[in-house]
Amino acid sequence: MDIDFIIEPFSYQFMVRSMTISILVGITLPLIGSFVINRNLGFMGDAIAHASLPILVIGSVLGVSIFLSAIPAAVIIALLLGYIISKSTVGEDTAIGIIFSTFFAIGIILLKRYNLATTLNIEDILFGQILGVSNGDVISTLALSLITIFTIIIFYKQILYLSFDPIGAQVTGLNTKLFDSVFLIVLSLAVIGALQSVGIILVLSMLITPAAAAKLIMKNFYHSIYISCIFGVIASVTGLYFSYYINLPSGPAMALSSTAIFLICWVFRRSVRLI
Amino acid sequence: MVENTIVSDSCCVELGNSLVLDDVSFSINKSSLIAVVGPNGGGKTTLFNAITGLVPITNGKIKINGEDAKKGSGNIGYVSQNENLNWNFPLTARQVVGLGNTKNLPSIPFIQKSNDLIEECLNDVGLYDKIDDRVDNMSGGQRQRVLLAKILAQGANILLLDEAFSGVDVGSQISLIEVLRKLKDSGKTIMIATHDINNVADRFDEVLCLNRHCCAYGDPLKVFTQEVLSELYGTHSSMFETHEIGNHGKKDGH
Repeated sequence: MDIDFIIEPFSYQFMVRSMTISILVGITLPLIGSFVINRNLGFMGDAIAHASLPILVIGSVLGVSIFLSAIPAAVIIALLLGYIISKSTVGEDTAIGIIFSTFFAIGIILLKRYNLATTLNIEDILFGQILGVSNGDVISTLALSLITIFTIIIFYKQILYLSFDPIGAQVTGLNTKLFDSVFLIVLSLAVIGALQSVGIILVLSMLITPAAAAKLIMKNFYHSIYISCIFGVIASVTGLYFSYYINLPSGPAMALSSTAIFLICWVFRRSVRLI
Repeated sequence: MVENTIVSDSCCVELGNSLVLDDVSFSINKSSLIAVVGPNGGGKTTLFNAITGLVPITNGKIKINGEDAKKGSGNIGYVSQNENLNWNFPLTARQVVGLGNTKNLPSIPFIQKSNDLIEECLNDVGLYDKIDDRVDNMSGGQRQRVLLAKILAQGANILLLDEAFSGVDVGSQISLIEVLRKLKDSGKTIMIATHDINNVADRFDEVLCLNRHCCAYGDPLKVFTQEVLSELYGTHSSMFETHEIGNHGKKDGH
């Protein structure tokens, strides 16, 4: 392969910005996705992404950056979902489904009502458009990613304990409600941070597919986290190249790259069973 | 003087509109191995939840080493029923036992902690050679022993095991009991909820018979009277009609 094929895109500033965001998203989403797949919270991640739409629209109407408006929204949505799930008598999936479809519907109506086609492109929001990110977007994504990564590192044991044995963790005196809320908030931050690259619809693919692929070939949860992040970076960077050279939308390109990695791991899962 | 570790005084627990525990009183000495028996819905798990402070006590009180249940909770290790744990996580025995001493404070990243405690606890339950094996791939008995090691790593002196023998073969049950007896001899107080009343007399020092209220408490060789069995299991008590004092379902009387 010609080295220029790899280097050439970076002669453009927008590609440097896009690559930075791709790597950040490729690390952050699979990192938290490793917990998400084992806790069966994939639907929750999807719901958070969809439910953020009305806030993105309101932020755009007020002239606030998408990220700045989405952060408080994500926190509120995460805590609201967590609360409703804990109190729900209609079932977890049902409660999440009602909330996320309601928020998403409100978002679409607001989008049409305020006619924001010039500032918010519905297709970019739904499917991602990483090539159009600004320096401000890079800084926002970097901040969200660092918060997520640092929180998961320092509270790794607490989050793992309450995910594996919630009753045992509570009996030891661990504040399980607090740490569960912390987990849901960083999940929301990671999802919001990825919206511009993969979009609302496809954020789930980067959240769960690299983590699921790593779980197929790794024996141990701790090591599977590292591998899922490596898979995430490979998928997002590969998707970015497809986006640049073949003019594919970035979100679907990244999603399909993740799927390709998953399929390869699935085919070789018995012969490649690592530490 | 014998030290009382767990004292329940007229404990009542309501869940929703249902009175699950009604006026339950007993006193458990330190360093004892206790079986908690009773029918499904008899309140065994609720009693453990009340002891650990997971459910509020509506009336009466439970004292742990003289303190309210919630204050003494750090001293209690609880192995809940198997289905309450998330076995999706591919964790090794080392990782599960390492969770035992988790505190509310954040960990400083990239600092390798000593494995001595984890190794010692797994050694105590006879699973040191399985330290890097995945727990979700282990047998039911081995899983119970790993979870036991986890609460030992927590530093608990009162160990509560809910349905510890459920889905565990006889050989593994015997291995688990041997481990529990050693722990009891080292000063731990252990309560196990079980449905296996046939082996209670052989395995435990005392038995607590619970069917929403405390039907009987004491030496298994003495408490399993026909009246107590009838109170525990109602019309199904005929299943245990061969049980009588000194003869718990065994024809030879032992």
